[in-house]
Amino acid sequence: MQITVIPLAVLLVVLAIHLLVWRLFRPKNHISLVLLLFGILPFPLIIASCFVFAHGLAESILIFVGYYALAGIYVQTYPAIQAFSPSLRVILMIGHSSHGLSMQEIESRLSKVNVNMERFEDLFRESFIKEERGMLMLLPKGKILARIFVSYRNFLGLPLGAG
Amino acid sequence: MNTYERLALLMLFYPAILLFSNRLLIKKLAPISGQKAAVFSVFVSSGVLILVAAVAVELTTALAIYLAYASLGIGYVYFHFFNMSETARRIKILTGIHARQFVTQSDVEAYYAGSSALHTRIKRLSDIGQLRLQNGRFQLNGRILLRAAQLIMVFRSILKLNQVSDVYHPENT
Repeated sequence: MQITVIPLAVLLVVLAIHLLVWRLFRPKNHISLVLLLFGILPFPLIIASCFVFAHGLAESILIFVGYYALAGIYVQTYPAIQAFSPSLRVILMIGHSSHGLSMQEIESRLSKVNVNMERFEDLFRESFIKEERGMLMLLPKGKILARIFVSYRNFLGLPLGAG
Repeated sequence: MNTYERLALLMLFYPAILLFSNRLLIKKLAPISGQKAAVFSVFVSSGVLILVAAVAVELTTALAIYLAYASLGIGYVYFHFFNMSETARRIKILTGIHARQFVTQSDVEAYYAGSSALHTRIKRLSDIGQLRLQNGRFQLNGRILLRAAQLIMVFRSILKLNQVSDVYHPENT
């Protein structure tokens, strides 16, 4: 029973902290803070609960896997919430129009929102990239992330995504 | 090995099962869209996981609930990870810099200023059956993504993130 309940309880605690911090402080470094909050903060909490309830190694692994599976759902959804993807913008625009939209109408409405360059600026703000003598360069965090995704696409036998 | 040890072993192997089944399905079902292949691999892998668990583990109600949310959670995370590799703009910019496709800021601006990035997205939405073209106008073909987008708008307001005004008042933009 504890294996099922502890991951849910820890997630609820972290979600409450997340909600409080976001509503009170409106942080700028969204992604790093979400990773810290959902990825690192619960670690000692789960370890402590494993000691308190005297769980063995297998049970502790199950609690960790259960928590990170649940937290992963939110962490993976968060960028879509924060950055609001152009695909979802298109879906909402068409969903709110009575007779659908032509390609020209979609283009003209999206061109008024510089959504792509906002994401570009996020990468500078979160220290994933820097510009040196007019050249874009990956910083360590950005290099790791880029390598993970390039290796992943290579493994699947697919070209790099179109973004 | 006791029940917990067998289940822990299964859960640790599950991401690898997802990864390899996705690779296999992309090759076997080509030219299927990558996103569809990722969804299929989540269904196939979770089916395999649940079948093996039903045989190898003595499932109590609590453990069955655990297995349901943990396998769905990992499957969801995997699908989004694939989606990020395919559609995320920040990942595109990072991998583009890594591959020297984007050397300067103007390369990134030029890539997104043209309409090709939008056309790619519209094609992707049509390929997965969410949009259809009728008399020169795009219409919604399904409601799943619309509901997801509306849910995301609710989350944005709970978290006090900025409003996305262009989608709610498109006529004013």
